[in-house]
Amino acid sequence: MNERLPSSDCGADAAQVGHFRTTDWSAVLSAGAGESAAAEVALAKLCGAYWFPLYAFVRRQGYTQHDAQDLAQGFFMRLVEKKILRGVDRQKGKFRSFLLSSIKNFLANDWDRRHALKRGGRCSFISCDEETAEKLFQRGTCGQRTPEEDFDRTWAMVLLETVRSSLKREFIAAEKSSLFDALEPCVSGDKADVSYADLAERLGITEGAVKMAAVRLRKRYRELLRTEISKTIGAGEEIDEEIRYLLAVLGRQ
Amino acid sequence: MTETSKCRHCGAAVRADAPFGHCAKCLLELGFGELPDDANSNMAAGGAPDRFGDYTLIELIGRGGMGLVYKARQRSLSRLVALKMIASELPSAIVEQRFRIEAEAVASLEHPNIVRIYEVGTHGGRHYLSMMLVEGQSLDKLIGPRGFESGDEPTSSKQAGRKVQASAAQVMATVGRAVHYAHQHGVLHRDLKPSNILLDRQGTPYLTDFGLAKIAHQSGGLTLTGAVIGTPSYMAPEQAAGKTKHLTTAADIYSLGAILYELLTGRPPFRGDTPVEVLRKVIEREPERPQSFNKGIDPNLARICLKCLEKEPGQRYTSAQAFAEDLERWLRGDPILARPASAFVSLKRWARKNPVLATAGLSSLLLVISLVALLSIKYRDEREKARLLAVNLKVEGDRERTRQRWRAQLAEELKVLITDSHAKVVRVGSEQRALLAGTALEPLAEGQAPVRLTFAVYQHSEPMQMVDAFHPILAYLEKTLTQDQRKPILIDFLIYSSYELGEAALVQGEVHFMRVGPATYVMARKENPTLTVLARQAHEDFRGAIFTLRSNAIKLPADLKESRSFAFGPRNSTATLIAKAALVELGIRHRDFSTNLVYRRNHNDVARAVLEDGFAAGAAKESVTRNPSLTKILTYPIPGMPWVATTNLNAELTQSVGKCLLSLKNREILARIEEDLIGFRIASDSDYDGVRNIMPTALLFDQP
Repeated sequence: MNERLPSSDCGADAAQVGHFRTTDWSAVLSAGAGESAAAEVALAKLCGAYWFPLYAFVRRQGYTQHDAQDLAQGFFMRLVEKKILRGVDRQKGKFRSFLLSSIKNFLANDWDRRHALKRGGRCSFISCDEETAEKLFQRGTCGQRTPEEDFDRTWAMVLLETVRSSLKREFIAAEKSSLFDALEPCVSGDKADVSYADLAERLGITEGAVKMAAVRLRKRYRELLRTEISKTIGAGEEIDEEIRYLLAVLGRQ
Repeated sequence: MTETSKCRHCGAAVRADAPFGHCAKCLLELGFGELPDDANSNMAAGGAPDRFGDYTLIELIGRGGMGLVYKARQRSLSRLVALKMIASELPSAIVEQRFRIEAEAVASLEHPNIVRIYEVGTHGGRHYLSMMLVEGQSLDKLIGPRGFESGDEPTSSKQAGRKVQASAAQVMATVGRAVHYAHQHGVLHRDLKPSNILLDRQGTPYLTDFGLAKIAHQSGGLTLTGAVIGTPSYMAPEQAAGKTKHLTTAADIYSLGAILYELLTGRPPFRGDTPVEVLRKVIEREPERPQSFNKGIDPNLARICLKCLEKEPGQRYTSAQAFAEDLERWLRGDPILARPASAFVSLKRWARKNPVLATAGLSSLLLVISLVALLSIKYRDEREKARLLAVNLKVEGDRERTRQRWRAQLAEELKVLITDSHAKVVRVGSEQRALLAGTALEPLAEGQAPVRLTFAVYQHSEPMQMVDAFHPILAYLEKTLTQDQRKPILIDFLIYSSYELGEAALVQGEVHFMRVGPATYVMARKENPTLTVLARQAHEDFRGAIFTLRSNAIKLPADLKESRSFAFGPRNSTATLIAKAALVELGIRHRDFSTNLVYRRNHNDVARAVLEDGFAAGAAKESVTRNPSLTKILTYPIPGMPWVATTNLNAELTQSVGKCLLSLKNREILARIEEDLIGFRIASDSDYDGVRNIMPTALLFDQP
């Protein structure tokens, strides 16, 4: 059985929020070091969702599996405690860039690092399957790329997996998980190996209904993807810009 | 061992458990702006190209931050167009409004090198615009590792290098002129980059994608405060720093330079692993010399490029046209105007690299240099400058606040006349005056170069007050002269810091016409007999007075001899000279006051010297003696101030200006200059014979 990448838990509710909602990351930014329960929740969710790229980055720096787990936990602990956010100048930026530069600083700061290690990291407040993460890390390692490049690539993977989980959850909630499984490969509009007619027969619905469901799945996928991206960028930043950036990262072999 | 599979969309190798059975790139691409629903369902399922209103979509030719672009046929007109659609569910008011603004901005532009817009509309709840279809490639596709690849096969590397540079210069000169045209119409592009420049098959460039342009007449509140909009590599430092509210045409000029840089070197001025890193470099670093990437690059062309990339907007070309013209000079082999960095600029660059070392010495140096710059600037392209300023004012949205800020800034600069003893003159251009006053600039008719006149005064009160006082009459003159001469006439306003400097300017013919005191006129005319009186100011009753405190023992003119202290107005003012002549007649000389004799800057200050500073008597215009604590000892008439033309003003204009002055009856305008001014009278040199005659007597006053 293959392990799936860890994914965020907060896709479905976010999609229902109005258009003028500030993004999760911009809410965190604007809250800054001040007290804001909503910002804290948003930050914790973001940390939970993008734990893996960070872990993989720390591992790439040469830390052992256990040290990397402790460091990542220690880092997030400090982040959520606002000790790191305090240093963020309020300029707009993406959560992704922020996370990468912060972890670099964190690792460069001897006291922070040792403190995190000493604490043992067992106080894991961010739930993640560390064993799975390690397996994934082992699988995804590539000596040809810089740790920063790997960070961005892993980020993109986690993002997409998060979107998939959200979408699947919606289908499950609507008791259509078999429909999801059947239509999942049709997300780009390219037909799967089986024809719509076959699918219709298998699912016991009309071919037209299958087509319609496929169109809806594509549309919903796209909405969820854009929503997920929007959560990690500052207010006023372009979703398309971030997509372009990630595409460029993936293009670098 | 991990199972592998193929991406269902592109066939790339993926792991078997890849989400959706697709590779990450394909999945991400699906997130871009999408097809309209109807087209989506058809085209995605491999159906026939769909219809969208009056258009038949033929193929997808591009995607931008704003939406998708299709090649389409407009059926009613049977023409091919580029159809740009707003992405389906980006319904935020901001995106929609931006889209509409793009449409309006571009629709107002008609230029052979700007992609024409045909139609703006909504179909099925979706906004779209149709525009000229340029069949060719965008400039970014023509940039290789060694720069611009114009498609010609080079015969030798040196020749090739030169050819690449010439092609790049030619394209950018054309683009520069198109950008200038947009600026003239109040439109900033704000996202100039190679992918927004399309080249047709003949290689003619077209500017497109005004998606970020913020139309001049659109009010603020549209851009999120401080949000960085644009593309980092081509973004001006002020834009990268998020100062989007203060963007000017200079930001676009920076981008033009950045594009030229990439055309020459194959890379933009700054690169980084992340957009944020690029932004930081844009703000903090100096670009490498283009020659460091390619020794074959002509230093002059590199200089043009680097001038655009100056961190300080004021150091860049003053307009996109100036940039285009310098490129054209370079193409012709003429000397270019862009100069190597001055010692000052080099110093500033050095300071940017060595901030700590530089702080101590630099601030005082900066101060001195900015004063020198202020005084030595020749305002050659005044209208251009001010018009761009006007554009920027409009673009900034909050017009009144901007105007006030700008006003405060100018007031600060004008203070140099008071605070710096070396300051000689300041100039406030016609357009600047209008902007200060909040009046709109009249558009000039095409092909009619304005005649620009200079009118001067010397400083006798707070400089900004003088600008305000003279603006209405100068605006009136501009209007009536333009009607009278049937060509646009503009008047720049100069303030000389002293009577002496004003007189020298008049003698040397530095200005077209000037308002001076009668005494100054008489002295200047002695040096320069070609001076002509245009008209003289007429007052209800313009008299000077020698006065004292009511409580004082001085009651008769003869008592003045015992007064021991005396306050005059400015040393060479007519009121002072006449008073001195009167005192000489009374047998009173400078020596009678020993050191207790002062010259004050203006009439009110003279009154204050008597009222508050204990001076026994003073001489000023009669009106100051309305103060009940003061009493007049003697009064004398002062002739109205003459408005004097130098030979710079030709005979026809001399007559015309005189006529316009005489026709001015508006008391509001007149009162701004002096409260009791009622108009202008015909005058000639002989009207000042009286002043001329007392002058020798007045001079006796100061003789030992």
